[in-house]
Amino acid sequence: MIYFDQSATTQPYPEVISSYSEAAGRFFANPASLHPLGTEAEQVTEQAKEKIARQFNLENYDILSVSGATEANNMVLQGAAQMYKNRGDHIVTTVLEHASVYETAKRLESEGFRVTFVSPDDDGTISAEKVINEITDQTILVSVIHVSHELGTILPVEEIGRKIKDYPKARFHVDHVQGACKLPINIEKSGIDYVSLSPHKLHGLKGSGLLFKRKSALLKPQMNGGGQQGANRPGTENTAGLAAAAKALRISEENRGAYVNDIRRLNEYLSSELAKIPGVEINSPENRSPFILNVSVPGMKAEAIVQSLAKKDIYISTKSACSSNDIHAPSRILAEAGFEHKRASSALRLSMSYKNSMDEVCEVIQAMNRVVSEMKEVKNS
Amino acid sequence: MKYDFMLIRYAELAIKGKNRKKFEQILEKNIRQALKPFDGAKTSRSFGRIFIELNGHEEEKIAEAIKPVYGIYSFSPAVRTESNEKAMQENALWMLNDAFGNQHGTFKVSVRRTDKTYPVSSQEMNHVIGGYLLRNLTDKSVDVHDPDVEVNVEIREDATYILCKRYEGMKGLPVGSSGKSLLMLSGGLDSPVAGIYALKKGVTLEAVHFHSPPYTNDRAKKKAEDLARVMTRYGGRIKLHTVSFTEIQKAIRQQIPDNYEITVTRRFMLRIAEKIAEETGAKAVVTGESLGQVASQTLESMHAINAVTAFPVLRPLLTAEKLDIVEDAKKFGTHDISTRPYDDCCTIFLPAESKTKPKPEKAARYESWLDIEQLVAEAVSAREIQIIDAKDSGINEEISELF
Repeated sequence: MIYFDQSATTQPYPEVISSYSEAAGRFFANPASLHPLGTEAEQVTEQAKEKIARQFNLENYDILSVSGATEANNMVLQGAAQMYKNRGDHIVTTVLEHASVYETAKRLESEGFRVTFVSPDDDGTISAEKVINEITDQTILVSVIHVSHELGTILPVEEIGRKIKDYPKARFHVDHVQGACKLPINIEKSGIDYVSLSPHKLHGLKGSGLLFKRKSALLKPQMNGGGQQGANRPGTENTAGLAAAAKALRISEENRGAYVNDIRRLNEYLSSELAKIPGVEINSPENRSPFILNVSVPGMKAEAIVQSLAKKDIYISTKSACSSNDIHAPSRILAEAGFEHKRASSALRLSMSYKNSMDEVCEVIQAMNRVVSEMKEVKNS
Repeated sequence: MKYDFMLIRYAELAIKGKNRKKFEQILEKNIRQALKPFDGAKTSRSFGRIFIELNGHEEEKIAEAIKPVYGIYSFSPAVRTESNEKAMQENALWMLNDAFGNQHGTFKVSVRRTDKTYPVSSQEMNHVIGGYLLRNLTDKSVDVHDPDVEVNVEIREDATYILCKRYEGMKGLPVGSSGKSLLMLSGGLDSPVAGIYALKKGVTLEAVHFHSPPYTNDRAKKKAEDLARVMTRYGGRIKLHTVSFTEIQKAIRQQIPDNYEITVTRRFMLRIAEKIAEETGAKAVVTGESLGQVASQTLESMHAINAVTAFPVLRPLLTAEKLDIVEDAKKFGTHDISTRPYDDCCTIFLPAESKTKPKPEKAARYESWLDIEQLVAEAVSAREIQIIDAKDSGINEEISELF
């Protein structure tokens, strides 16, 4: 099996699974219970958060455990909009966002907020100035994806954060899902108020996401309940999920140090070889995450390519898995990023992790070559 | 470009006279302690200043580490450079930009030339550097009287030294320069703040915490440990004495009228604190009491409670406003720990009513039904002693494998 859909989700590290099962079995008590079993579970919960806070160099932040980054993104957009609506009614975000930010922003728009969606320039990237220039004295929230999950585009969130400090009214959210433990950023120093994270994209487990929230940045809670996690996110805390998340993040960070340059080489090789195949066009910009490569084969059905590769035990995506429900629609993100319809509707995403190797990359290139030329023959005959 | 060392100024007025040298030594030792995690960062003293050689460490990390050290008035990262115009200008520009961040503002350049063989005078050098900065900066102007940022350039024989950015220190006296006190540390908001104020005056602290097993939650005890751990940032390691108060509380509950329970409880706590202070060589007891805040902190109550000891009882928060104490707790980093909802021993057996004007004689008479000396001696000898160290992460090794 060659798995090149690592940005959709990853296979958990065995260590993560054993951490989860040990914590789930041993520290099953409710961390909010007063008895010593509760105290123990609370200790595991708190120390997992402490470990995570340290890994990301966070001192003045709450680490909130949530169900996933989709929940985190919803919590931030809706929660900040509602909390700060008395200060203004304007939100700045980009067209490259994940659906959980984009759709929430659309909904806020329908509820009366004004939303500016910044588009990339011709080179595919969005500069800090371009985002900052949209900020007005009515802007209460700026939400920017760090690494585009479809194109791999890297956005200058640190620079944006430093510049937003000049606008004390505007809170700053970063969707760090595809960047965490891959392309580290200095969260606290860059003035980022909220950060969404998804350990299952880092060989962790589904069902446990994270939201880092600067203590001084508030959110209107989106759920009502027993007041856990400072009432920001009520519900019995997921002790084992947090322990597993802490472990996945730690191992991923270690791997980043060891392998990130290898991944860079894989991505460059993959891109230069795929570009040689007639009909294949590279969509990802130069300044992209080494973990993602987006290409199009205009005129061919992307889904057909995905299925033919799957027959060869190679797994890639069309657009992001979260928006693959309507498989025939072009990628919303590529279309809004300025790609013409033919290209936006034939996009393929190849995404890697530290587990992928050069041998696999070579096999993928060969298989792509064969599949594309076979499909051309079918079309021409 | 990068910073080479950190220059530390200390409050000179506060340390005049014979003690000055001792103060300097203690301060340098405390700074060294704070720099322990930074291999190669070395301290030295000269001309009434302390210097830290950064040896490649990030200036901001070092600043963060020494910021809580009492006795520091202010400090600035500095650059050592060759004594030539270009190097001075470029370094000054970089440092000024670093000091301003994105802010607009005013600056001034002050050059001192202790190396008189340097061919250009200080006055001229002011213009050479100031002019260069103005040409290369937008949004910044010169204000020689009240600048936001001052660029200090000192041309010496061996090299030129430039200072610009300035951090405010915590002021106060270096911890360890004013003897030892014992802090009565509950889990509440006030006592850790009071303790940190005592540290500010140079006092070394040990702490005593009372709990009532099995009726109190372990989390209440952990609260005290976590609070002490925060306090180590300001005062180095802290010895924490945890006293089980259950037997005494039971005895009080049985023998003492309801409206004197609080007074007698406090008197027992103070007696125990005094005994521990004697053992450890502490010369005073520090409490978080604030006048009139609760029934047991009226002047009459303090009088009745204080009567059991001849030790000075220091109350740094005596006249503080509750809101200010809350603000301080937030600033010191103890607030979120103090507000965890676990009862410590004094609230477990709390009577319904208590006297706001208790009399010491009456309290003494009620207490005469109890074997005071034995109860105190037993509690003191059964206490648990832990050293809370700044290095101690608070992370339980046993479960750390999970992460």
